[in-house]
Amino acid sequence: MPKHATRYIDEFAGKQLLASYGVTVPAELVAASPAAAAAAAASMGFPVVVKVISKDVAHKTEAGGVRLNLGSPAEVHIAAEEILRSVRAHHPTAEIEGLLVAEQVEIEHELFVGMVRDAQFGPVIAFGLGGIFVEVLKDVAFGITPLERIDALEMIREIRGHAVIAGARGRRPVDEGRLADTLLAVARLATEHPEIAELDINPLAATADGRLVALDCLLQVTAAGQ
Amino acid sequence: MFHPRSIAIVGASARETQFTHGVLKGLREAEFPGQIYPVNPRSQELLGYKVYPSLLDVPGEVDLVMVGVPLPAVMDVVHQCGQKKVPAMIVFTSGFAEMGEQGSRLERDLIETAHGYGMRFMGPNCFGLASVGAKLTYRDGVPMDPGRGGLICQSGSMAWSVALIAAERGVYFDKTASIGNSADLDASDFLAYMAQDDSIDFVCVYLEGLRDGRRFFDVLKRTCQRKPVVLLKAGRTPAGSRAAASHTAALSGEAHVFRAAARQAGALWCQDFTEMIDMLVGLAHIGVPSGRRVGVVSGPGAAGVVTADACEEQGLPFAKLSEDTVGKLRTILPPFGSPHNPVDLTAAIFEDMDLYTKATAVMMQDPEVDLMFILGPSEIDPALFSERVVASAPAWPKPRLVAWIASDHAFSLGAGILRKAGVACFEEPVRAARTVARLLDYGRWRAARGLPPVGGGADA
Repeated sequence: MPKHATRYIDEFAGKQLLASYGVTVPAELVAASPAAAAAAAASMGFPVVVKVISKDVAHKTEAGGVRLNLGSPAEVHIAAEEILRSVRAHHPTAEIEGLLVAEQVEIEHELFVGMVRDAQFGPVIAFGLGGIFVEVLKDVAFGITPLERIDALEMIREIRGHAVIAGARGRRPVDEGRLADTLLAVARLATEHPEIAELDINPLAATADGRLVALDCLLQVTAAGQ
Repeated sequence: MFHPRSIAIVGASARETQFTHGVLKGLREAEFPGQIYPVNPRSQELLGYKVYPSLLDVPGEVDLVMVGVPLPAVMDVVHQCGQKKVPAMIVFTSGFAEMGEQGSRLERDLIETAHGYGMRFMGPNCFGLASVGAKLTYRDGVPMDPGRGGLICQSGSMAWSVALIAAERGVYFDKTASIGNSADLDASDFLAYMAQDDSIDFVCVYLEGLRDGRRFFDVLKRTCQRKPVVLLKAGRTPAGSRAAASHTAALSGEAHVFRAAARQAGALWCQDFTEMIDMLVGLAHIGVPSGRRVGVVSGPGAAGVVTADACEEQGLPFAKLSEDTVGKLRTILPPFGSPHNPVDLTAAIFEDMDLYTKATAVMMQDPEVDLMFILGPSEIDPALFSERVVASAPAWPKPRLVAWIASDHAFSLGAGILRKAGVACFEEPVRAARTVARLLDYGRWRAARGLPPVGGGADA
């Protein structure tokens, strides 16, 4: 796959696109500097998350570009400076567009929703539990478009780890109807935006207060719009 | 294409090892009622048929031309078909796209030429068609018994094997399409045809490659809304073969995506050949049960325990028999038998083989029981057991199957009788349980989409 043919949409823009399809995203602000980030955090309330915004950095955590659970303006300021230093060290040529300051949500379940284009079938929607479930156990269900609501519900119930989100061990069960809505939203987005080649919402957080929030997203776009 | 009135076999050979010879022999054996015109410049007569030197010498119209000439001669025959205004061809000849770039060029040429004349064709590199109703077949030795199945196979020899293996299990295909390279007519075309064909209740599809996955998915989904489709896709590549940045791309191997698409479309996706054959038996001789609660009747031995494990594994609960049923069973059973599910008939069956069918008939009446597993008597009297089951089965109102653990010898004695009579019969309880679970999956797929239940199997 030729590298030059693809680029990434930055996380903030990606989330705005998701939000326009009805996917809940965290309250977040873009800041141009560590000082602005601290001020933005103060206006939102604590704790917050700070992340680097750059199209050139696909995997932010690996580059030291993400800091969680920051409790004060001073912590935000220091963390933001450290993020910028670390990202520049990892990716000296990366263009850094700014810093993303986001509410820190309380995660009950880490989920995963994705999309890739298959040469035969077109958009393929993926669903799994986040973290080790998807990365190690590869416990993922796939669906193709047109994805109907019943198809989405069957995908959710098909994964081996379904019991985990159905309320096992006294944890709050995930609202499967809403989760199906999220899968359908991603399917619609994939159909209406053929330029988007791949998409990961990882994690999609099922929060303690019953929301489904796209905490991070990776969107890959083909330059030719193909 | 399934109902030609006249067929020309171009390249019909006198040599018995040649495919075209087998076709001619097959058509003769099947007593194909239409005109048959073998074409070969080196013969005058073949298997009692007059042979024509060229297709252009054949008098009158030809509905279907089977092309079995060597590769270099194929295009000449195609042009002759065009001149003769033949509507359809089956191209047996190999050496096209399956043989690399040069063959692919030949295949494109074949497509363009045929379409230029307005002709459609099957193949190349295929066996072609069989239709029991039309007495049409692709070679001698193909089972031509009436059946309710449709078969679509990319590989011709696979089609023949499936037909023979299924026939051994009492499952027959009304129509078969061996599509080969499917340069023109492909799996989607034949599936769409079989979807609307009322003489077909279920379709079996074996694929290796696929050119237009989208269209196949759409046709498959529409077909599954009408009737069940068993699907085996060979030649799967492992997951993670995509070079990509996202998790989604890394996780979505071709096999995963195809499987997901097939299941979403409602197909009975098979992991392997054994499962495919079991599914065909299930569709032909069990049908889709209305519920998943299993009643079990067994003779002495381990089969009951093994079946309990298998059913548990497949999410098939054992039915809790009503008091009424238990009471009735008590009057039938020997003193040491168990009237609770799984019903244990004990070694008393060797004195009275009718215990099986008596107990089954009682359990069939219980509304708690959705279907019956009858576990055969292992090594003793398998034929007698099977005869009794066959005699009683037509009166039973619910789906039933026989499974047992026995030697090949005992199994084949019993199975031969059961299968001939259309009673599903499995070598192992676990295969029976897996098959039933998959049939229920299809029923659930329909119900979840507001579709009415399909009718039972042909013999159920």
